[in-house]
Amino acid sequence: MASATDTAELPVVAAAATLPTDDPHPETDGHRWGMVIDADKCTGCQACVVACQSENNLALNEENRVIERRAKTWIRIERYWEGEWPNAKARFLPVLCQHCGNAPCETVCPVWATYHNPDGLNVQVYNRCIGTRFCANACPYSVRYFNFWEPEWPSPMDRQLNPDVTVRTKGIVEKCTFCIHRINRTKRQADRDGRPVADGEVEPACVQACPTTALVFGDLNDSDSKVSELSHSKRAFTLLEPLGTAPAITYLKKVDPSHVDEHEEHGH
Amino acid sequence: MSGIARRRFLTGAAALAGGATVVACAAPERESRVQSFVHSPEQTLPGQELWFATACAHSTGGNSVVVRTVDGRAKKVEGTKGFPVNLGKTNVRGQAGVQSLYNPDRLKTPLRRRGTRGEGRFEAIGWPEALDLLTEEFGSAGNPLVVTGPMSGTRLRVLAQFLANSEGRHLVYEAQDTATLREAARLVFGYTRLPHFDIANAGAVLSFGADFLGTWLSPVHYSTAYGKFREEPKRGHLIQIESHMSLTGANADRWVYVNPGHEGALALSIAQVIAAENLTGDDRWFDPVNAVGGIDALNAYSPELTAERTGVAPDTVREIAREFAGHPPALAIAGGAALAQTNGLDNAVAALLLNRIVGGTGAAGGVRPNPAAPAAVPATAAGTPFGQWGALSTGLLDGSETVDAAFFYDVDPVYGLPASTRFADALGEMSFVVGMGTFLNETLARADLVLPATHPFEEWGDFVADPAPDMEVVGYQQPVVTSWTNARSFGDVMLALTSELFPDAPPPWTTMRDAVRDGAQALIGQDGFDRGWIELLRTGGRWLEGEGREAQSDQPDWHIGLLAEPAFAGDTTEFDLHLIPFENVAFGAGTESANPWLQATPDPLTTVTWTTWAELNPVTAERLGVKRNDVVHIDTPDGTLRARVYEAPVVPPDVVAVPIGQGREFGSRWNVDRGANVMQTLAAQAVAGSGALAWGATRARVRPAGEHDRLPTLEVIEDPRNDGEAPPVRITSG
Repeated sequence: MASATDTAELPVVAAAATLPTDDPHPETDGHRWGMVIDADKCTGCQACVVACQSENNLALNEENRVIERRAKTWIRIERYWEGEWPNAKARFLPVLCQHCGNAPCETVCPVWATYHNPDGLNVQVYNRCIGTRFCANACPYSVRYFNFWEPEWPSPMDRQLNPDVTVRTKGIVEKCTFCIHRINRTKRQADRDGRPVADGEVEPACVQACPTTALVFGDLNDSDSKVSELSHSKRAFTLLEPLGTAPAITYLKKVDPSHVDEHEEHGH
Repeated sequence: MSGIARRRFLTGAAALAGGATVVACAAPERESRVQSFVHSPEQTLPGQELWFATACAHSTGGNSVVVRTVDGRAKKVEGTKGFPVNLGKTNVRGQAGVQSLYNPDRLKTPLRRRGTRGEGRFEAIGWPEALDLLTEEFGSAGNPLVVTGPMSGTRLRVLAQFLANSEGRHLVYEAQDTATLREAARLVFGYTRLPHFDIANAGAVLSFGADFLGTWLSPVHYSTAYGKFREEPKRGHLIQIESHMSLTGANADRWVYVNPGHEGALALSIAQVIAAENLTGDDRWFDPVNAVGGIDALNAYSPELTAERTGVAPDTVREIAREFAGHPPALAIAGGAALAQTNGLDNAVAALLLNRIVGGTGAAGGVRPNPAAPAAVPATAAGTPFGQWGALSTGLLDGSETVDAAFFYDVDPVYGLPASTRFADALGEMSFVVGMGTFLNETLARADLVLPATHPFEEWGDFVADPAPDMEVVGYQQPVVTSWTNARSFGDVMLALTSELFPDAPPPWTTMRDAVRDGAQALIGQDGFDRGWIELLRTGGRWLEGEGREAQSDQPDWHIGLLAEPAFAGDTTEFDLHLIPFENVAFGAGTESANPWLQATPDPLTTVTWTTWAELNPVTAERLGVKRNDVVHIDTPDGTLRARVYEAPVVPPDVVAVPIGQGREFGSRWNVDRGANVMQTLAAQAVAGSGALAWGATRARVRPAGEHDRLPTLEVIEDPRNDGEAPPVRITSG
């Protein structure tokens, strides 16, 4: 076991600037993009899943890929069983990159392929990634996907590829970007018009598709935005909150009318 | 290319029509490949996106979408904002539309049969030859038959031209027919059109088997309504009663299992509690109850008297009744397996009757009559009930009926009808069969001539939303890209055929575009039509408050004494489980299974992808000696299928549930030889009073096949039989 003296002499292995800070959301003049997912409205219909695949050029998840646990869906609907027959229930929870303020994936990348951008997004630089998969291992939400194969779209399926989104090569890690290309396009347009980005003007593909509007996206730095308002709901919680990752995604609990009294009592 | 060279090249190309050769000679070869803006298609600029509103390719209910195109290629589908059916939203099938458009296994050119019918061997021919053959066979046919899916608008008008001249007949094949619900709406409310179920404004929704969030009627519309229904602070209360948990059931505040076929008895039991406890607070329940037999007849369905047959405890029935009536406005709906019983019409009527009992008709949050379709754009043609398909099949096989020439467009009855109807054999008795579609399927594979149909994003059309969303809605469809195949639209082929066969009475239009424009002109008038036409295409259609709403009948045309007991195919001792087939959220009854995105979309409840599975309760699985991933045989009195076991705690112990949609011999590389077709194993029973297929009325037994095959699921669960010889991850290359 190393002594206290030995520890003091250990080399510094990471730049201090990349370590988590006390404040995961330092004040900026810009945006801090975030999402609210209302579990009471999410039906588990999967529209967001295919919308994301279509928008972001995700490769086909053939049957073998699913069996081998190597299917990629930047957003997935997790289903949880509760209870036993005849009182069993199913619960749905969409899970995607949480764009953490204290992102465990960012500190472990040896080549700074993943970092926090000024808008609060957890960004992956594909042409910098060398495929160590440290980030995927560090992510407690399992939302980073390694490309084990070159993506293929049998012709003419490749005609559908979105020219705004990079097709990722074999050997790198990819994940949800909050549809950063849509964010940037909207910001450019607002700049050209000489106005701020309006609340609700940016819609990632999953948010746009959601038929029940369970997903809401916006600027958390704008206290008047819908996403800011909802994130302060009494039903609000974040995934794996004790880890201190400070996610940019807030979930709203499903309402269970049979437990109304208990909820009111505990202030949830 | 330098700026000067590029500019000089473009200038030359613009100035000299046909002068590209001259310019090309003066420029290096690499530069001569630069695309000239002069020859770009109308509106198209390289790299600039264009959005076109059109009809949703694969959603039911009449959704409008906008398709993003770049350089003449479709990239993304989104809902058309403001369109009242889907309000800018889509579902999983709508999102996957572009992948069907660019599916490499689409039919690309006309095919003529070479082998025997059903062998699937064809030779490619050109359109002129195909049209000659079509004209020759239909010209000599005495009683042509045209079979399509649910169809409205200009396509119906075009088809009517052909049918009127040829004295042919039109049958409408619905993969999941709506005849029972339509007849129930007529009996309870006197409506001949599907009404509007106002979920958005309801305080409580009581659904008997209607999976309105997944597959029932117009799931995108109902999902948008559900979003509003769940808005705080009012937050509506959802109760789902069914025999197999659907997506809607999974989202319910209260989910209740009912023994299959006894949904009507349970509905009457709820009505009895409402009346006995006067839960409406007034006597509004009295007249409708009196009209269907009176309180004495209803008392025969008190919770205690129905508990044994429904399987629902009396206290639970009372709680349901109080929750339902205690959250006005209350709305009751019915669908799915509840209606697919031999007594399905009674179940539907009893369920919808609850709306009259709580007074939830006509007002917001209740059942509202829909307006009539405009005269210029015909409403959806009524579906042909299962009973008529069975009669056609029987008639053809015993020789009492003949069909000289048949045209099947975008349907697959050979796949969807139970094998015991022998429709595939009956097809062989038809003298000449033409099949038209975007993919080969079990019906088209038995055709003499196969015609490639354009994808919905490649053709002109219009449609009337059915059911309408409480207003008159006409949607417009325009091509958003040029077809990459040699396909033609059904309307254009019908117009060509009619013109060729009946030169003395040709249709008034030569193309579908003309026909659709003509209908639009009748709809919005001559004045300022050009501007109005552009607006129709830009917004996706036209919607108005509408006229011609039907008045509710004075009283229901039904009597409690008519409620029949369900009948099931299969003896309870030999076939100990109820077989409940259900539509897949991703590709419905199998119509979209060629699409790999949809194949890979996890079933919301089981997370299974790509195959057929058998849902069993863990207790049932243990009794049968099977576990997750074990292969089993599911036997019915009319057939057998193989599937892998998925154990789920929400599956009732006396039920085996199997998704519809797999088990195809013909289609694309992504859906052929995959899973099994449960529809083929069903008994050919009809719903009394509506003639629809009673697809929930077959019993089954489950036998272990002694094999084990890992299910492709999104969820990660340790394989109960993984002994190390079959590691979950294989060594792969590539």
